[in-house]
Amino acid sequence: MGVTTIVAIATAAMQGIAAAVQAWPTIQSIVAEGRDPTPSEQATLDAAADAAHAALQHPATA
Amino acid sequence: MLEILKFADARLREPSTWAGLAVLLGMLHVNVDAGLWHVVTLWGTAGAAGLAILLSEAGSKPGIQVGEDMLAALSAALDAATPPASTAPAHTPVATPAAVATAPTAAALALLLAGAVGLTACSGSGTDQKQALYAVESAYVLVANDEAAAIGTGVVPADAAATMRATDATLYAALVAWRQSVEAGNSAAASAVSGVQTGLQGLVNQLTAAKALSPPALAAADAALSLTAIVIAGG
Repeated sequence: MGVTTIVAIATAAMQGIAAAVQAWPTIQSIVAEGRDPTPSEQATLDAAADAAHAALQHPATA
Repeated sequence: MLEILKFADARLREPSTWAGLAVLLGMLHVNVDAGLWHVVTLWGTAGAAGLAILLSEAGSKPGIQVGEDMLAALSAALDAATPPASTAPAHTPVATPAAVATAPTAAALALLLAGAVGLTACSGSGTDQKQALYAVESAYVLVANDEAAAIGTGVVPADAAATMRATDATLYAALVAWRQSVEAGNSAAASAVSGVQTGLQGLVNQLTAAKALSPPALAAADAALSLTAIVIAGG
């Protein structure tokens, strides 16, 4: 398997995962600080959730 | 030294860094299996995120307190990582990245970070719906990814896959409805949040039965379910 394929797979697979994994330090901070997520933080995660759902329900078109 | 560690950690939390490493390995004629690299990238970013938590506390908490927090988080995380014995299916799945990732050491590493979040979240009395929604969506992404991997690799039989997709559809609809309520400045009813909680728990149970739930997803779901419980209890 070529490098280009590996990079493409790794990058695509991690787009949503990265947002979710990196959300955890953010969650810790917003709970500790008693603040809400910013609109930008929420929008990023909304997009990741939507993409994950689409990929699961329609794998051929995601 | 701390600044150097924080800089390196920030780079390792970026998937592009891992993609670059794949390119570098390719230039050195080291061909890494795509599935293995997926796992390496996942654990690498998860580990870096966990390190970020510890680094953020290094300057503000006594060392002994950070250590105690780590042990408490690890204990809770390992408890959460233990699958229910009664849910073991007759179907024996093949080894997948998600299944391989359930090794105790890997579980401890990843759950350390999410477990810490869960404990922190549970100890907070001021959790509101925006915070809980954020946690649930984050967990959902991880769980849905595991679900897609389980279905895509044939780990689960067709009927179980159909059940998982149906559960996901119900959960996602409830999640979107909750999101819209929050965005509109309203609080969803406890029953609506409870629907999301039930759906997420259902997916976790199904994936656990299929031995296809990765430790980060399990820990994230555990923490998110704790937050939703607080919201529901607060009515």
